[in-house]
Amino acid sequence: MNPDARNNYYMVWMSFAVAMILNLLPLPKALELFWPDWVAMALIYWIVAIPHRVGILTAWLIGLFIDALEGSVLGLHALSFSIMAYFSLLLYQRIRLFPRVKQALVVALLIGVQMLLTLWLKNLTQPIERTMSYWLPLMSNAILWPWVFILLRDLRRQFRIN
Amino acid sequence: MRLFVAVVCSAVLMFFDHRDRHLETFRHTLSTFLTPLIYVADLPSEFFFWGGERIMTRDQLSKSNQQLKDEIFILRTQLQKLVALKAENAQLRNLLGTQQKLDGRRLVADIINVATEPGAHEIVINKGSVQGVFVGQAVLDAYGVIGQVISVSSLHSRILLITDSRHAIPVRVERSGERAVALGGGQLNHLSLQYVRSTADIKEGDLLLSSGIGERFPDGYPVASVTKLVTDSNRSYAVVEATTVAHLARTGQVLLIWPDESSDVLNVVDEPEPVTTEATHES
Repeated sequence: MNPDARNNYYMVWMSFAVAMILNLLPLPKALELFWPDWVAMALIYWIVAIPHRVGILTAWLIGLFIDALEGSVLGLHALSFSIMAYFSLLLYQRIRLFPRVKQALVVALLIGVQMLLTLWLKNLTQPIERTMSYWLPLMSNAILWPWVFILLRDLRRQFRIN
Repeated sequence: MRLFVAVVCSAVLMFFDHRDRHLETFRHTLSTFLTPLIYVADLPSEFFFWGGERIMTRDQLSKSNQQLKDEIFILRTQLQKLVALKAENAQLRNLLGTQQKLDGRRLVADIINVATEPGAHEIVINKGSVQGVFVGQAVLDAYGVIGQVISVSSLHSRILLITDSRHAIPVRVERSGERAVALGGGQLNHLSLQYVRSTADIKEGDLLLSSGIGERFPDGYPVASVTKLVTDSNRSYAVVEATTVAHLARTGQVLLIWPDESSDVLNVVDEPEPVTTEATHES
Protein backbone atom coordinates (compact mmCIF):
# COMPACT_ATOMS: atom_id res chain seq x y z
CA MET A 1 0.00 0.00 0.00
CA ASN A 2 1.50 3.32 -0.89
CA PRO A 3 1.84 5.78 1.98
CA ASP A 4 0.01 8.51 0.07
CA ALA A 5 -3.21 6.58 0.09
CA ARG A 6 -3.35 6.41 3.85
CA ASN A 7 -2.95 10.17 4.11
CA ASN A 8 -5.53 10.90 1.51
CA TYR A 9 -8.19 8.69 3.00
CA TYR A 10 -9.64 11.76 4.69
CA MET A 11 -10.81 12.90 1.25
CA VAL A 12 -13.37 10.09 1.31
CA TRP A 13 -14.83 11.54 4.48
CA MET A 14 -14.65 15.03 3.02
CA SER A 15 -16.73 13.85 0.08
CA PHE A 16 -19.26 12.37 2.52
CA ALA A 17 -19.39 15.68 4.39
CA VAL A 18 -20.04 17.56 1.14
CA ALA A 19 -22.73 15.05 0.20
CA MET A 20 -24.41 15.54 3.59
CA ILE A 21 -24.39 19.31 3.13
CA LEU A 22 -25.91 18.87 -0.32
CA ASN A 23 -28.62 16.71 1.24
CA LEU A 24 -29.37 19.42 3.80
CA LEU A 25 -29.49 22.37 1.39
CA PRO A 26 -32.75 24.27 1.65
CA LEU A 27 -34.42 24.33 -1.75
CA PRO A 28 -37.53 25.59 -3.47
CA LYS A 29 -40.38 23.08 -3.20
CA ALA A 30 -40.24 22.02 -6.85
CA LEU A 31 -36.55 21.21 -6.70
CA GLU A 32 -36.78 19.63 -3.28
CA LEU A 33 -39.10 16.94 -4.64
CA PHE A 34 -36.44 15.77 -7.07
CA TRP A 35 -33.39 16.36 -4.91
CA PRO A 36 -31.35 13.13 -4.97
CA ASP A 37 -29.73 11.39 -2.05
CA TRP A 38 -26.12 12.47 -2.53
CA VAL A 39 -24.84 10.55 0.47
CA ALA A 40 -26.18 7.24 -0.81
CA MET A 41 -24.56 7.86 -4.21
CA ALA A 42 -21.21 8.74 -2.67
CA LEU A 43 -21.40 5.69 -0.45
CA ILE A 44 -22.08 3.34 -3.35
CA TYR A 45 -19.28 4.90 -5.36
CA TRP A 46 -16.72 4.40 -2.62
CA ILE A 47 -17.87 0.87 -1.92
CA VAL A 48 -17.56 -0.04 -5.58
CA ALA A 49 -14.22 1.75 -5.96
CA ILE A 50 -12.44 0.74 -2.74
CA PRO A 51 -14.46 -2.08 -1.12
CA HIS A 52 -11.52 -3.01 1.10
CA ARG A 53 -11.69 0.42 2.75
CA VAL A 54 -15.30 1.46 2.67
CA GLY A 55 -17.82 -1.16 3.69
CA ILE A 56 -20.64 -1.92 6.03
CA LEU A 57 -19.04 -0.24 9.03
CA THR A 58 -18.59 3.04 7.14
CA ALA A 59 -22.14 2.77 5.83
CA TRP A 60 -23.41 2.22 9.35
CA LEU A 61 -21.57 5.27 10.69
CA ILE A 62 -22.74 7.45 7.81
CA GLY A 63 -26.29 6.25 8.41
CA LEU A 64 -25.99 7.16 12.06
CA PHE A 65 -24.80 10.65 11.12
CA ILE A 66 -27.77 11.06 8.80
CA ASP A 67 -30.06 10.06 11.64
CA ALA A 68 -28.57 12.72 13.88
CA LEU A 69 -28.80 15.34 11.13
CA GLU A 70 -32.34 14.51 10.09
CA GLY A 71 -33.64 13.95 13.57
CA SER A 72 -34.93 10.48 12.73
CA VAL A 73 -34.73 7.63 15.22
CA LEU A 74 -31.07 6.75 15.80
CA GLY A 75 -30.15 3.61 13.90
CA LEU A 76 -32.82 3.97 11.22
CA HIS A 77 -30.62 5.09 8.36
CA ALA A 78 -27.73 3.17 9.89
CA LEU A 79 -29.71 -0.01 9.30
CA SER A 80 -30.89 0.80 5.79
CA PHE A 81 -27.47 2.07 4.70
CA SER A 82 -25.75 -1.06 6.05
CA ILE A 83 -28.06 -3.25 4.03
CA MET A 84 -27.51 -1.15 0.92
CA ALA A 85 -23.76 -1.43 1.52
CA TYR A 86 -24.09 -5.20 1.88
CA PHE A 87 -25.73 -5.53 -1.54
CA SER A 88 -23.23 -3.11 -3.06
CA LEU A 89 -20.40 -5.28 -1.73
CA LEU A 90 -21.98 -8.35 -3.28
CA LEU A 91 -22.24 -6.66 -6.65
CA TYR A 92 -19.23 -4.36 -6.78
CA GLN A 93 -17.22 -6.44 -9.27
CA ARG A 94 -20.11 -6.55 -11.69
CA ILE A 95 -21.01 -2.88 -11.22
CA ARG A 96 -17.47 -1.93 -12.19
CA LEU A 97 -17.83 -3.70 -15.51
CA PHE A 98 -21.30 -2.46 -16.39
CA PRO A 99 -21.73 0.27 -19.01
CA ARG A 100 -22.61 3.61 -17.52
CA VAL A 101 -26.37 3.40 -18.15
CA LYS A 102 -26.74 -0.04 -16.69
CA GLN A 103 -24.61 1.08 -13.77
CA ALA A 104 -26.99 3.96 -13.13
CA LEU A 105 -29.94 1.58 -13.10
CA VAL A 106 -28.29 -0.79 -10.65
CA VAL A 107 -27.36 2.14 -8.41
CA ALA A 108 -30.95 3.34 -8.53
CA LEU A 109 -32.05 -0.16 -7.61
CA LEU A 110 -29.69 -0.27 -4.63
CA ILE A 111 -30.83 3.15 -3.45
CA GLY A 112 -34.41 2.05 -4.05
CA VAL A 113 -33.96 -0.90 -1.69
CA GLN A 114 -32.52 1.46 0.89
CA MET A 115 -35.40 3.93 0.44
CA LEU A 116 -37.98 1.18 0.78
CA LEU A 117 -36.42 0.02 4.03
CA THR A 118 -36.15 3.59 5.27
CA LEU A 119 -39.79 4.16 4.41
CA TRP A 120 -40.93 1.12 6.36
CA LEU A 121 -38.89 2.05 9.39
CA LYS A 122 -40.00 5.67 9.24
CA ASN A 123 -43.64 4.73 9.00
CA LEU A 124 -43.12 2.58 12.07
CA THR A 125 -41.40 5.26 14.11
CA GLN A 126 -42.54 8.60 12.71
CA PRO A 127 -46.00 8.16 11.27
CA ILE A 128 -46.59 11.17 9.07
CA GLU A 129 -48.27 11.17 5.71
CA ARG A 130 -45.86 10.31 2.91
CA THR A 131 -46.92 10.43 -0.71
CA MET A 132 -45.69 8.75 -3.87
CA SER A 133 -43.44 11.77 -4.43
CA TYR A 134 -41.15 10.08 -1.91
CA TRP A 135 -39.82 8.05 -4.84
CA LEU A 136 -39.07 10.96 -7.18
CA PRO A 137 -35.45 11.47 -6.01
CA LEU A 138 -34.72 7.94 -7.19
CA MET A 139 -35.07 9.17 -10.78
CA SER A 140 -32.63 12.03 -10.26
CA ASN A 141 -30.25 9.61 -8.56
CA ALA A 142 -30.19 7.47 -11.69
CA ILE A 143 -29.80 10.46 -14.00
CA LEU A 144 -27.06 12.11 -11.98
CA TRP A 145 -25.09 8.95 -11.25
CA PRO A 146 -22.71 9.19 -14.27
CA TRP A 147 -21.64 12.69 -13.26
CA VAL A 148 -21.20 11.76 -9.63
CA PHE A 149 -19.20 8.77 -10.78
CA ILE A 150 -16.88 10.89 -12.95
CA LEU A 151 -16.49 13.53 -10.25
CA LEU A 152 -15.59 11.06 -7.53
CA ARG A 153 -13.36 9.03 -9.86
CA ASP A 154 -11.38 12.15 -10.67
CA LEU A 155 -11.17 12.92 -6.98
CA ARG A 156 -9.93 9.42 -6.31
CA ARG A 157 -7.28 9.64 -9.04
CA GLN A 158 -6.23 13.11 -8.01
CA PHE A 159 -5.58 12.01 -4.45
CA ARG A 160 -4.53 8.45 -5.36
CA ILE A 161 -7.01 6.90 -2.99
CA ASN A 162 -7.02 3.15 -3.39
CA MET B 1 -21.31 -11.38 9.58
CA ARG B 2 -20.55 -7.68 9.64
CA LEU B 3 -23.97 -7.01 8.22
CA PHE B 4 -25.48 -9.03 11.03
CA VAL B 5 -23.63 -6.98 13.64
CA ALA B 6 -24.67 -3.74 11.93
CA VAL B 7 -28.30 -4.79 11.77
CA VAL B 8 -28.36 -5.85 15.41
CA CYS B 9 -26.66 -2.64 16.53
CA SER B 10 -29.12 -0.50 14.57
CA ALA B 11 -32.08 -2.44 15.86
CA VAL B 12 -30.91 -2.05 19.45
CA LEU B 13 -30.28 1.67 18.93
CA MET B 14 -33.67 2.20 17.35
CA PHE B 15 -35.41 0.29 20.08
CA PHE B 16 -33.87 2.31 22.89
CA ASP B 17 -34.15 5.63 21.10
CA HIS B 18 -37.78 5.14 20.20
CA ARG B 19 -39.02 3.49 23.38
CA ASP B 20 -37.41 5.30 26.23
CA ARG B 21 -35.36 8.12 24.80
CA HIS B 22 -32.38 6.81 26.77
CA LEU B 23 -30.02 8.00 24.08
CA GLU B 24 -30.61 11.71 24.50
CA THR B 25 -27.01 12.36 25.56
CA PHE B 26 -25.64 10.23 22.74
CA ARG B 27 -27.81 12.05 20.22
CA HIS B 28 -26.75 15.33 21.79
CA THR B 29 -23.04 14.53 21.36
CA LEU B 30 -23.51 13.24 17.84
CA SER B 31 -25.51 16.24 16.64
CA THR B 32 -23.11 18.64 18.30
CA PHE B 33 -20.31 16.97 16.34
CA LEU B 34 -22.31 17.43 13.14
CA THR B 35 -23.51 20.98 13.82
CA PRO B 36 -20.98 22.57 11.41
CA LEU B 37 -22.61 20.73 8.50
CA ILE B 38 -25.97 22.27 9.36
CA TYR B 39 -24.52 25.74 9.59
CA VAL B 40 -22.68 25.34 6.27
CA ALA B 41 -25.85 24.11 4.56
CA ASP B 42 -27.58 27.26 5.76
CA LEU B 43 -24.90 29.57 4.30
CA PRO B 44 -26.35 29.98 0.77
CA SER B 45 -29.75 31.15 1.97
CA GLU B 46 -28.07 33.27 4.62
CA PHE B 47 -25.98 34.84 1.88
CA PHE B 48 -29.01 35.64 -0.28
CA PHE B 49 -30.76 37.17 2.69
CA TRP B 50 -27.67 39.25 3.48
CA GLY B 51 -27.41 40.32 -0.17
CA GLY B 52 -31.04 41.34 -0.15
CA GLU B 53 -30.42 43.47 2.92
CA ARG B 54 -27.36 45.15 1.38
CA ILE B 55 -28.80 45.87 -2.01
CA MET B 56 -31.51 48.32 -1.06
CA THR B 57 -32.05 51.85 -2.15
CA ARG B 58 -31.89 54.71 0.30
CA ASP B 59 -35.55 55.29 -0.34
CA GLN B 60 -36.48 51.73 0.59
CA LEU B 61 -34.39 51.91 3.72
CA SER B 62 -35.87 55.13 4.97
CA LYS B 63 -39.34 53.83 4.19
CA SER B 64 -38.84 50.64 6.15
CA ASN B 65 -37.25 52.65 8.94
CA GLN B 66 -40.33 54.87 9.11
CA GLN B 67 -42.57 51.82 9.15
CA LEU B 68 -40.65 50.29 12.01
CA LYS B 69 -40.77 53.53 13.96
CA ASP B 70 -44.53 53.70 13.55
CA GLU B 71 -44.83 50.12 14.67
CA ILE B 72 -42.71 50.75 17.74
CA PHE B 73 -44.83 53.76 18.60
CA ILE B 74 -48.05 51.77 18.39
CA LEU B 75 -46.60 48.91 20.41
CA ARG B 76 -45.32 51.33 23.05
CA THR B 77 -48.75 52.85 23.50
CA GLN B 78 -50.25 49.39 23.84
CA LEU B 79 -47.59 48.57 26.39
CA GLN B 80 -48.72 51.47 28.60
CA LYS B 81 -52.10 49.86 28.90
CA LEU B 82 -50.48 46.50 29.58
CA VAL B 83 -48.51 47.84 32.54
CA ALA B 84 -51.69 49.14 34.14
CA LEU B 85 -53.49 45.87 33.41
CA LYS B 86 -50.67 43.87 34.90
CA ALA B 87 -50.80 45.84 38.10
CA GLU B 88 -54.54 45.45 38.26
CA ASN B 89 -54.29 41.74 37.58
CA ALA B 90 -51.72 41.32 40.33
CA GLN B 91 -53.99 43.17 42.73
CA LEU B 92 -56.97 41.01 41.87
CA ARG B 93 -54.88 37.86 42.21
CA ASN B 94 -53.78 39.08 45.60
CA LEU B 95 -57.39 39.56 46.60
CA LEU B 96 -58.18 36.05 45.44
CA GLY B 97 -55.13 34.73 47.20
CA THR B 98 -53.61 33.03 44.15
CA GLN B 99 -50.03 33.09 42.95
CA GLN B 100 -48.96 35.87 40.65
CA LYS B 101 -47.90 35.03 37.15
CA LEU B 102 -44.39 36.15 36.39
CA ASP B 103 -42.52 36.19 33.14
CA GLY B 104 -39.81 33.56 32.89
CA ARG B 105 -36.62 33.83 30.88
CA ARG B 106 -36.94 34.25 27.13
CA LEU B 107 -34.54 34.15 24.23
CA VAL B 108 -34.75 35.00 20.55
CA ALA B 109 -33.40 32.38 18.13
CA ASP B 110 -32.89 32.40 14.38
CA ILE B 111 -34.28 29.66 12.19
CA ILE B 112 -31.55 27.78 10.32
CA ASN B 113 -32.90 27.11 6.89
CA VAL B 114 -32.08 23.48 6.15
CA ALA B 115 -34.02 20.79 4.34
CA THR B 116 -36.20 18.58 6.47
CA GLU B 117 -38.14 15.55 5.37
CA PRO B 118 -40.96 16.59 3.04
CA GLY B 119 -44.22 16.26 4.95
CA ALA B 120 -42.59 16.62 8.35
CA HIS B 121 -43.16 20.01 9.93
CA GLU B 122 -39.87 20.63 11.64
CA ILE B 123 -37.47 23.54 11.82
CA VAL B 124 -33.93 23.89 13.12
CA ILE B 125 -32.86 26.88 15.23
CA ASN B 126 -29.44 28.26 16.10
CA LYS B 127 -29.68 27.91 19.87
CA GLY B 128 -28.87 24.78 21.82
CA SER B 129 -28.11 23.41 25.27
CA VAL B 130 -25.32 25.99 25.69
CA GLN B 131 -28.08 28.60 25.87
CA GLY B 132 -30.13 26.33 28.10
CA VAL B 133 -32.57 25.00 25.53
CA PHE B 134 -34.17 21.72 26.62
CA VAL B 135 -36.33 19.04 25.04
CA GLY B 136 -40.01 19.83 25.41
CA GLN B 137 -39.53 23.57 25.60
CA ALA B 138 -42.29 25.73 24.13
CA VAL B 139 -41.44 27.92 21.14
CA LEU B 140 -43.37 31.00 19.99
CA ASP B 141 -43.16 33.50 17.19
CA ALA B 142 -44.39 37.09 17.20
CA TYR B 143 -48.01 35.96 16.85
CA GLY B 144 -48.41 32.76 18.81
CA VAL B 145 -47.28 29.25 19.66
CA ILE B 146 -45.37 27.49 16.89
CA GLY B 147 -44.15 24.27 18.46
CA GLN B 148 -41.83 22.55 20.87
CA VAL B 149 -38.20 21.46 20.98
CA ILE B 150 -37.74 17.76 20.19
CA SER B 151 -33.95 17.44 20.23
CA VAL B 152 -31.03 19.61 21.21
CA SER B 153 -27.33 19.70 20.54
CA SER B 154 -24.93 22.21 22.04
CA LEU B 155 -25.47 24.79 19.35
CA HIS B 156 -28.65 23.93 17.51
CA SER B 157 -31.97 22.33 18.20
CA ARG B 158 -34.88 20.87 16.32
CA ILE B 159 -38.45 22.01 16.72
CA LEU B 160 -41.62 20.10 15.96
CA LEU B 161 -44.28 22.50 14.72
CA ILE B 162 -47.84 22.31 16.01
CA THR B 163 -49.08 21.57 12.49
CA ASP B 164 -47.11 18.31 12.24
CA SER B 165 -49.35 15.28 12.23
CA ARG B 166 -47.48 13.88 15.23
CA HIS B 167 -48.24 16.91 17.36
CA ALA B 168 -51.09 17.77 19.68
CA ILE B 169 -51.54 20.80 21.89
CA PRO B 170 -54.14 21.31 24.63
CA VAL B 171 -56.13 24.50 24.06
CA ARG B 172 -59.05 26.44 25.46
CA VAL B 173 -61.44 28.82 23.78
CA GLU B 174 -60.64 32.34 24.86
CA ARG B 175 -64.28 33.44 24.95
CA SER B 176 -65.93 30.55 26.72
CA GLY B 177 -63.15 28.53 28.30
CA GLU B 178 -64.14 25.32 26.50
CA ARG B 179 -61.22 22.91 26.42
CA ALA B 180 -60.01 20.79 23.52
CA VAL B 181 -56.95 19.23 21.99
CA ALA B 182 -55.66 20.71 18.74
CA LEU B 183 -54.04 18.16 16.45
CA GLY B 184 -51.78 19.02 13.57
CA GLY B 185 -52.69 17.47 10.25
CA GLY B 186 -49.50 17.88 8.28
CA GLN B 187 -50.97 20.81 6.35
CA LEU B 188 -49.56 24.30 6.55
CA ASN B 189 -51.21 26.55 9.19
CA HIS B 190 -53.97 24.05 9.78
CA LEU B 191 -55.14 22.38 12.99
CA SER B 192 -58.15 20.28 13.84
CA LEU B 193 -59.78 20.15 17.26
CA GLN B 194 -60.51 16.89 18.97
CA TYR B 195 -63.02 16.12 21.71
CA VAL B 196 -65.26 19.14 21.27
CA ARG B 197 -68.80 18.23 22.28
CA SER B 198 -71.48 19.11 19.74
CA THR B 199 -73.09 21.29 22.35
CA ALA B 200 -69.90 23.12 23.25
CA ASP B 201 -69.86 26.89 23.25
CA ILE B 202 -67.61 27.52 20.30
CA LYS B 203 -68.04 29.71 17.23
CA GLU B 204 -66.20 30.44 14.04
CA GLY B 205 -63.61 33.12 14.61
CA ASP B 206 -62.99 32.14 18.23
CA LEU B 207 -59.43 32.48 19.40
CA LEU B 208 -57.83 29.39 20.91
CA LEU B 209 -55.24 29.81 23.65
CA SER B 210 -52.85 27.24 25.03
CA SER B 211 -54.49 25.90 28.17
CA GLY B 212 -51.39 24.90 30.09
CA ILE B 213 -52.72 21.42 30.74
CA GLY B 214 -49.92 18.93 30.34
CA GLU B 215 -47.40 21.45 31.65
CA ARG B 216 -45.66 21.55 28.30
CA PHE B 217 -46.98 24.82 26.93
CA PRO B 218 -47.54 27.73 29.29
CA ASP B 219 -51.08 28.93 29.80
CA GLY B 220 -52.61 31.72 27.76
CA TYR B 221 -50.62 32.02 24.54
CA PRO B 222 -52.59 32.32 21.29
CA VAL B 223 -52.51 29.17 19.17
CA ALA B 224 -55.14 29.33 16.44
CA SER B 225 -58.48 30.78 15.42
CA VAL B 226 -61.48 28.64 14.52
CA THR B 227 -62.28 28.71 10.82
CA LYS B 228 -64.81 25.95 10.34
CA LEU B 229 -67.33 24.36 12.62
CA VAL B 230 -69.66 21.48 11.77
CA THR B 231 -72.01 20.29 14.46
CA ASP B 232 -74.13 17.25 13.95
CA SER B 233 -76.50 16.35 16.75
CA ASN B 234 -76.21 12.69 15.80
CA ARG B 235 -72.55 12.68 16.62
CA SER B 236 -71.18 13.44 20.03
CA TYR B 237 -68.20 15.40 18.82
CA ALA B 238 -68.15 18.44 16.56
CA VAL B 239 -65.78 18.81 13.65
CA VAL B 240 -63.71 21.93 14.27
CA GLU B 241 -60.94 23.25 12.07
CA ALA B 242 -58.63 26.11 12.93
CA THR B 243 -55.86 28.19 11.40
CA THR B 244 -52.73 28.88 13.38
CA VAL B 245 -52.09 32.48 14.35
CA ALA B 246 -48.34 31.93 14.22
CA HIS B 247 -46.91 32.31 10.75
CA LEU B 248 -44.84 29.11 10.74
CA ALA B 249 -42.42 30.31 8.10
CA ARG B 250 -39.19 28.57 7.24
CA THR B 251 -37.09 31.66 7.86
CA GLY B 252 -37.09 34.34 10.50
CA GLN B 253 -36.98 34.39 14.25
CA VAL B 254 -38.62 32.48 17.04
CA LEU B 255 -38.89 33.02 20.77
CA LEU B 256 -37.89 30.38 23.29
CA ILE B 257 -39.56 30.65 26.67
CA TRP B 258 -38.56 29.13 29.96
CA PRO B 259 -41.07 28.19 32.59
CA ASP B 260 -41.08 30.52 35.54
CA GLU B 261 -39.12 28.87 38.35
CA SER B 262 -40.87 30.74 41.12
CA SER B 263 -44.32 29.45 40.24
CA ASP B 264 -45.46 26.30 41.94
CA VAL B 265 -45.43 23.41 39.54
CA LEU B 266 -48.59 21.42 39.63
CA ASN B 267 -48.14 17.70 39.83
CA VAL B 268 -50.23 16.98 36.81
CA VAL B 269 -49.65 13.66 35.15
CA ASP B 270 -46.90 14.27 32.66
CA GLU B 271 -48.40 13.26 29.39
CA PRO B 272 -46.01 13.30 26.47
CA GLU B 273 -47.17 15.91 24.02
CA PRO B 274 -46.15 14.51 20.65
CA VAL B 275 -48.73 11.81 20.24
CA THR B 276 -48.21 9.18 17.66
CA THR B 277 -51.49 9.01 15.88
CA GLU B 278 -52.33 5.80 14.21
CA ALA B 279 -52.66 6.57 10.58
CA THR B 280 -52.56 4.38 7.58
CA HIS B 281 -49.86 5.05 5.06
CA GLU B 282 -49.84 3.92 1.52
CA SER B 283 -46.55 4.02 -0.23
